[in-house]
This record gives sequence, C-alpha cells and structure tokens, in this order.
Amino acid sequence: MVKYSIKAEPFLGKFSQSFDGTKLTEIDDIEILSLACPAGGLDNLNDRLIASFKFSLPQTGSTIGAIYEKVLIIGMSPGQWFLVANSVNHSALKAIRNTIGDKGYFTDQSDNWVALLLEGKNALLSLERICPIDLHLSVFPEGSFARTKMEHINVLIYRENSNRLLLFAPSSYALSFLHEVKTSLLYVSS
Amino acid sequence: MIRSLNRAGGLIDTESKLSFTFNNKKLIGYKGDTLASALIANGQKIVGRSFKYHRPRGIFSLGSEEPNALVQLGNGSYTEPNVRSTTVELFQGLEARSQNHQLSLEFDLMAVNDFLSPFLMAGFYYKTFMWPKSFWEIIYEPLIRAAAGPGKLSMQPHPDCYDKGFIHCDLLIVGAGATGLSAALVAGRSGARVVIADEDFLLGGRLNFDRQEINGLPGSHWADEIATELDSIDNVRLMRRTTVFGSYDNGVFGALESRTDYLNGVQIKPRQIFWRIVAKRSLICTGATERSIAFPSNDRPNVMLANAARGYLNRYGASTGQRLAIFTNNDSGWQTANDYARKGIDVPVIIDTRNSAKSRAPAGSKVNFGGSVIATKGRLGLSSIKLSDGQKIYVDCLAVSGGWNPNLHLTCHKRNYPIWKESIAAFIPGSNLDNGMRAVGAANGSFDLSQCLKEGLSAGKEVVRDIGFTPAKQSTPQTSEEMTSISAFWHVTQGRGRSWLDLQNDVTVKDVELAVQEGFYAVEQLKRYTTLGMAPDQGKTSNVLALAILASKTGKSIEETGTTVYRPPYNPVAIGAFAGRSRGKNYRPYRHTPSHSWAKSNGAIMVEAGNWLRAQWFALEGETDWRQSVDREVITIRNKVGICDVSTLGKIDIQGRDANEFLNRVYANGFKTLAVGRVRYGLMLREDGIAYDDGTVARLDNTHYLMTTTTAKAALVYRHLEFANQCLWPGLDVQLISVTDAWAQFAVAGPNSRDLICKLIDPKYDLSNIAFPFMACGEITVCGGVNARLFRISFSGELAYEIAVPSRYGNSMMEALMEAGQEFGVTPYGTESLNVMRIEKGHASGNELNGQTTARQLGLGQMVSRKKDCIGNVLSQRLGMNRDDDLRLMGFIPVDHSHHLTAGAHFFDSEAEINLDNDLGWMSSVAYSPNLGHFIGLGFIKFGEERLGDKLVAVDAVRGNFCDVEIVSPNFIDPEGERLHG
Repeated sequence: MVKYSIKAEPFLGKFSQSFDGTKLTEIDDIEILSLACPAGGLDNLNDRLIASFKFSLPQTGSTIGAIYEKVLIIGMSPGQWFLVANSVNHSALKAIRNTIGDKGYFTDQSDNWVALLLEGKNALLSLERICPIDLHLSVFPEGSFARTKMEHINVLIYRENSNRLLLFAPSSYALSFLHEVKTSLLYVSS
Repeated sequence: MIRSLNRAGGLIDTESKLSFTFNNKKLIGYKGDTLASALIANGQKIVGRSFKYHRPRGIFSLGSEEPNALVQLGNGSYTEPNVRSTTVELFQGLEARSQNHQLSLEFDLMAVNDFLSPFLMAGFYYKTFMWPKSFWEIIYEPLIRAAAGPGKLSMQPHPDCYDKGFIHCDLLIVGAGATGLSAALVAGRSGARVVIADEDFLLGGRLNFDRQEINGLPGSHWADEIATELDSIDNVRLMRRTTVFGSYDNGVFGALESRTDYLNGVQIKPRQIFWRIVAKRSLICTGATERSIAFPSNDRPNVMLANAARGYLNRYGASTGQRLAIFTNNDSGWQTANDYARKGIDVPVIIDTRNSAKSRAPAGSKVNFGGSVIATKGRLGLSSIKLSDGQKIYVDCLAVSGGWNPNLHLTCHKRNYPIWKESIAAFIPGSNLDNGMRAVGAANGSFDLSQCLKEGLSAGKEVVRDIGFTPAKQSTPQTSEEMTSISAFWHVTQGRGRSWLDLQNDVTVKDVELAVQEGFYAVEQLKRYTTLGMAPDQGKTSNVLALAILASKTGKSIEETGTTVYRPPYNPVAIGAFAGRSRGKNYRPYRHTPSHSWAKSNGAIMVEAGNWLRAQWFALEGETDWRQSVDREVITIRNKVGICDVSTLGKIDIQGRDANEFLNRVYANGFKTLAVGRVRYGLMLREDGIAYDDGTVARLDNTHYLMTTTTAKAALVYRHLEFANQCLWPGLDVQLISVTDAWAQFAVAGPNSRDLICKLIDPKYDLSNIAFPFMACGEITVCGGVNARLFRISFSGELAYEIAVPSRYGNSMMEALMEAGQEFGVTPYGTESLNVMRIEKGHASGNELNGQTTARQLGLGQMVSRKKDCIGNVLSQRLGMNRDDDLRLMGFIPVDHSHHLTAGAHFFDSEAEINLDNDLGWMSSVAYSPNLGHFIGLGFIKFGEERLGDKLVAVDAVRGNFCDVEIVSPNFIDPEGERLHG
C-alpha cells in the first residue's frame, strides 16, 4: 500500500466570478475522450452507434447531444471526434466507448484542456474582443462548434445557447487564457 | 446629444460648459465643441508654428485633413503629441499646448528659419551638411532633429490601455453623412447586418456644417432622426468616433474606435479599440475634402478653407472672423459668404476666378469675377488681402475654396489607382475596386446633396439584394438642388512671395518647381523629394493641388501626370492601439508546467522557453549565485536523486494498424522491431537529410505509441507528422493527437531514483532491473490507483525514470515525489542542471540540432538505416554530407582547467592565423561540470575523432576569450553507461 496520495487540482482552482451579470466559471469535471476512426472504418463505427444509441457521428464542425444531456459529440476534423461529458454522465461516455470498442481509437483528452463556461448578457460582447470568428446566431447557432485562436491560444468554442458558451483551451495556457477572457469581461462591463 | 442653437446658432450644448486650457490659458467651451471650434470661439487665431519655417499658423480645416493645428495634449506620461485639434472632442479639464516653437507661440526664436528659407528649399538636406563628414552624426543631425519634429514624447510608457476586437457584418458603411445614412437605413430596415462607422462624434457629415434641408427639416435634424432609428435597429451597429483607416484583403477593414479620449480623468477601460471588421460588402461614403488655391502668403492664420469657416459657424456657432472675404473657383465659397452674411457678419468681397456664377452673392458683397488674391498681410493673423486688380481689402478671415477632392483613400489601399474626372477637377476611385466595395456619393465625385441621398439609397438597396435580402421600401429623401459647378484654378502667378501647397510640410510652389528643375518630375519622386503629402494629414488638402502645379510645370495634363496611391492608415494610429492589450507581461500568453505552483513556492527561478515558463534552478537560502544552486543540484542528482518537471516535451499519441510503419518512415532509425513495453530513441531527418528533431517513442500497445519531441519542436513535429500522414501516405491507418498538455511528466534521475519511484507506484508493479530494464515503459497506477505512465529513459546518464500522471495531478505529484524523496536526499532541478548533465553525457540539444547539422555530424550517422526508406534518407547520402573532413560533434576541455569556455567560440590550430579560411569549427554548448571540476564543451570540429587529443585554440572574439582546449570524447561521464543500466 502506497502511503502517499495525490489529488487532482483544477487548473484554475475552480475559478468562478461574475462580471456585471456575466459569469465565468471553470468547469473542472469535464471528461473529454478523443475518438478516431480507423481508415475505412466509418461505416462500421456508425453502424454500432446507430444500433445501440440511434445516432451516427456528426460532420466536422458539427455537434450532436449536449454535455448536460449526457454526452456531447463534436466533429473535430475528418475522422476525429471529441466525446465530452461531465462526471455525472461518466457512465454514458463509458457506454459509448464500450460500444465502439476496437472500431475506434480513443485518447483521453480530459487533462489536455481547461474548460471555461461563459454565460450572460456580455458573453458575446466580451468574446468580440478576442474571438476572430463570427458568433452571430445566424452564422454560429446553438450547438455550433469551432476551432479558433484567441490571443494566440488555440481554443475550441461550443455554443450551448445564445449567451452560454463553452471554451476549451490547452491546459498549460489556463492562466493566460483566463486572463484574456477576464480582461474582455472587465472591458465590456459597465 | 442636446442640439442647441446658442452661441450664434450652433449644434453645441451651451448648458454644458467645459473649461480647458491652451498654453496654460484657461478658456471656456461647450459640450459638442472640438478643441478647434472652442479655440476659434475664444478668438485664438494662431495655434502652432509650421514645420520648417516656424511660420505662425492657424486652424485651416474642420476635420482629420487638418495640416496646421497640431497640438500636444495632456501631461506627464499621458501626453500625446501631434493631435489634430479639429478632431479632439472637448472635455472638462482638457490641457492643450501648441507645438514646434521655442520661447512662446507668439514669439518663436526658431522663426529665424523663415529668413533662411532660400537655403531650406526642398531637398536641402541632400545637398548641405556634407562637410566635414564627421559632423553629420554629432552636430548636424542632432541640431536638425532638435529643430524639427513638432511634438514631444514623454519617453514613459503610456498608462492608458488599448484593446482589439473583431466585428463581422454583411455591409460596412464607412461614413455617416447623407449618403451613408441613406444607405444604412435601407440596408438596416431590410434586415442586413450593417455596421456604419464615422470618425465624428456627431453623425451627419456635412449636414451638420451646412444649411440644406431634407424632407423639410434642417439636414442636421434629419441626420439625427436617421441615427436614432438606426440605433434602434438590432441588426445595425452605429459606430461613432470610429475611423476606418485601412482596407485589406478579403473584405477586412481596420478601424479605430475612440472610447475614452473625450472623457476627463484616469480611465480604466481601453482608450481606443482597434477593430478588424470583416464585411461581405462595403460602401465607401466618406465624402469629400475641400482644397485650397496656391497664392502668395496663403498660409497666414485665418486663411482657411471655405467649408471650414462655414462649418465653424453653422455647427459650432463660432465665427472665424468679423470681416470675411471669399476666394473661390466654385460655388462652395458662395455658400460660406451667404451663411456668414446671414449671421450679420460683413462679407465685403467674393473673389471668384471664374467669369460668372449662378450663385447669388449676399447683399452688400461685391463680386470680383476673374480676379484673384495676390498678397496677404498680418503677422499673427490675417489683416488684409490684395487683389489682382490692385485693391487692398481689410479682412480678418479669408475663406478659400479651390474645389473638392473625393475621399477615396480606402479605395486605393489595394492598389486601385484613382482616375481623373475633368468635370469636377478631381480624382475619383478607379474602376478596379475589390469585389464587394463601392464608392458612393461625394466619395465618388457626386457633390450635390440630392444626388448623394439618391445614390446612397440605391447602393444600399443593391447591396442587400445582392446578399440575399429583399430591400425595404424606402423613397429618396427630398432636398433642393445644389450648385456645384467648378472651373479648375490652381495657382495665382501674379504677386510676390511663396505660395504654400502643403502647409504641414512647408512645401511651396517653388519647391515643386525646383523638384522639376532637378529632374524629379514623376509624382512618386516629387513626393519623396519635397516631402509633400507625408506626415499626419497625408496630403489630404495638398496632393491634388501640387499635382496640378507639377502638371503645369511639366507641360502634361493632370491625367497624364497621375497621382500617388494612398496607403493605410487614413489617419495616424497610435502604436498602442496596434499592440492592444498585448503589453508588458501580457505581451504574449504563457504556458505553465503542471508543477508551476509548487516550483514558485520552492525558490524556482523561472526562464522563458518559448511560451513555457520553466524552472531554471531552485535557489536555496544562502545561495547567492546561480552556479552555486546548479552545481549543488547536479552533484545531488549524480550522487542521490533529483526531480525535474519535463512536461514541456511534446507528446504525440499515435494509433493505428499502420502506426509502426508510419514511425519507421518518419524516423531515420528502424522501428519495426520495437516491442510493446519498450522505448526507443529516434532521430528525424528533414527531407533534405538534415537532422530535424530527436525524441523517444514508447510502444504502449500493438497499435498504440507515444512519441516525445523536444520542447521547441513540439508543434512543428506534430505538423510534420500530420503532413506525412495526410499528404505523403494517406493510405496508412494512422491517427495522431497531441497529448502534451494532458500529462504531467517528471524526470526522476540519480542512483536513488528507483527507490524513490517505488515508494509511489502501486505495489503490484515490479521495477527491478530485470522486470523493468533500461528503455522499458508501461502503463501503471500510482498512489492507490491514479493512472500513470512510467518510462525508464535517461537524459542525464543516470539511472532514471520519467513518470507521467494526468496534468491535474501534476502539482500534487511533485509534492509527493519531494516528500517521498526526503530520505534519499532528493533535490528538484531545473533546465540549467538538465543542460549541464546532458553536456556531460554528450547529448545533442537545440544548440546542436540547429537545422544545419547532419546525423553524421552529430555522431548519429549509424542510426540512419540504409535498409529502409524514410524521410530524408536519400538526400542524407549526398556526397557533400558524407565528407571525411566533415564536422563532427566532439568534447572539449580547457587545457588549463581553471579557464572557462564560452559557447560560440571558433576553433583554430594554435599556430594558425585567425581568419575564416582557418576556421575549424565552433563550440556549440558549454557548461561547468561540478563532477569534473572544470568547464566542458561540445562542439563541431573538422575530422572529429581523428583529432582526439589534439590541442587547439577556442577563440571567442566577441567576448575576448581565447582559450587553449583539448579535443576529447563528448561523453564526459560514465562513457560505458553503467549508471543508466544499473
């Protein structure tokens, strides 16, 4: 029995702060599993998913599901998806993994990313300062996902609803990324 | 905005009084004033001194075209030079000072330059100050610099903050005058996402300066109503105080929004925001700028543009004089005369260079058709003018109009040349505009208000239809017809004295004549030789006038003469705005290692490694020099155990049925035989055979590998692999994903490392030398079930492991390792010790893998397998890369062990002359080895091993270090590798 124990520490210490009615929160219980499709194996993979869960994998840039309704599946790039769930829905994620089995390649990405939830009236105004992509609802509707750069940091952005967005940045950039989002919120707050 | 008709009928709010200072003189203005209008209202005629001749200058124009009235704003670190007072929105407590004078504004010692003007003609600095040569840097240049350059910098960091941002829209309308507002309204009502930007704080453009009515309302009221409606439309964004300064590729525009410039006191929000606006379509509705006429002494204070005089009166209720004359070649000047007369101000004469005009002169004004102004008088302000018929007329203001130039700058930024339109005597935008951009209204040469409204509406409808919307029903606003006829007239040749073209750069007609005389008759040459059109105003009021003079002097038409093409920015932009928030420690984002927090709390001295912040060494109490800390760390590691966070190394997860084949192709050495549970060192070559990067690959499962790269090349290697996977061998079943940030990885090195690791890994794992030998790897659990990976690899040459846990556990893992290691005398170590130990072992690093060296030069030639194909294999066999006298990586020690070595030194035979021909190689890495007690170095030397034991001199000419060195094996410590296999 090892006498030492180690614990997981949130990258941003469970940061949570409200800025003029817009809340910025570190989501530290998200699990991210990368799924890659073996060459020529997409049909097999989808067949298994359809048979068990009645869905097939989304196109690149599209998503299905939602984190708080079990599992969010993001089409990251051709042949690659992220399966995202919070700890409550760990079992749902596991079920998908088990169903896919050897028909896909999995890599745990949970610790690769820090996740920030940005929610409130100034969410879009603040992102306007750092996000180069068009977040207008007509262009980036609910359920949209994109890979982009914010202040030189690679960021994944997912829109849950009009003023609620989830941002993922590489975990080593957590402090710098938090600084950028916070600065934006401070600048647009009244 | 409260629109008030006080202070003689302007649009200022006289309920809101603002006090400000100019040259420490306390003055009063009102909300809605600019600094220029407030100065005029306070009777301040002279506001600055000219650039070269230090002549007194007054306000000349209304807006960003202003060449004269540049002032210094604010104090201390907040001060800002060269601000155009015509664009400064007045605020309570504003402090402004005039520029470019010694002693006082009114009595400037440097005005002596005016008497020296015959020696200061265009290009004088190309011809003078030639002798003695040495005086240029020590006397002439400092003197010239002290005399020139209008404002002064504080030489302190500017305390204001700036920001940047992105805006996307269907339609960007630049300019919120009659044309822009008309277009924005229909586009906004039609549902398009519209951004309309204007540099002014009050929308309406010249509707606020003139008295034309639209739909029975004063133009300014109509503009106010439209702006109010636009503000209420969700899909329209009205950007006041925003200058669109540049047009770039793919519908991208640069815009600068002023956010707090007009507010008093210290601001915590950004002063300005630099926006990148991405627009599907754009309408350039930027209006037109009036120009002057060249006539003798036309630069005196209160000789100003006619529309400016009119604007100050109508918008700001500030009369520019009590007795005003008009000098014009078009109908615009007549409007000014009528507006002034209507206010009861005496307009004794209108001098029109034409022979007739349809406009009516105000009662009491004489009209001098076909005449011109041939002289002016008044030292610090205009007192009289002399006409070509000999009349002398006493006036305190002369309003001049030489016609209008469309503001076509944004249409030029992508090399679209303007074309000359004779009927308006001006350039209009060329026909080769980028897809999606159109110039409309006065910006396109339509100077009549009714035409502008009509064109704006029509363009707005066409654009929205073009991008898939149904245009809203909207009729053209009604207004009376304007008279806009012009007969080009550029230069009064009668009279004596200099006639100014470019007031900002003190360029006169004589300067243009001189340039032509000296052969600089192409427009681009003229600009560079005379400096015409440079500096903040970018020649907005002077360029066309000067071109016309140039054309007349060269006997060509203006069309044949052509024009220079404008480039961004339209107006000056502070460097701070381009930097935005990326200043100081936020200049760039940082990456933190998982144990950063622990390291900071335990004396780590940090170093930037790319974007990473890494511990360089850990200073203990009493250690006053970095060498003390590093020597201690290295000794401890070699004798006990040390821990280093190596999470910064690139980590790439590779999976697939063909992953093994893929690795075999990207690495120079073979990977076919790598077994599950084993690690192999790999060397990558570039396609040209040069060494690219090195690292390790661990085979975790049959189809699952983990590659590590150097910290510096992590992203580049990943990109290289993606290229190989997607483009070179798309048929292979290989999947890549970066896991660099996913794992916290620690090197645990030293003879006690196994004992330490064993205290943390769960008991079921056997780390004995037989069960887990050198270059073994495995997926394990630590501390009661936490997933981890263990690799028995060594960069230090010691018995060593690298242990990885999910990043969130990284800080806690470091604490646990340190706690568990206490009984073994553990020390944390940083990049310096890492470097010392790898040099002691002769391992190549960034200094050796520098993009110019080959595997053979690095002593790794045997790794390049000739039994298989791989990237770089073929070209690595080139003769030139396989010469016997080629460079080889070797070790070097000082002959006298008390001497120190320096990296970068070059090797020469002891007796050889030190020159390039005799250069034998260079020292790439150097360290003090506390284990050996002297400096050691790695370096490249011709013939390598053949020269083992030879003595050379290492010459570091830059730092003056000449040291006799001996060539030794690069493996300084434990050359048999007993320690790492132990």
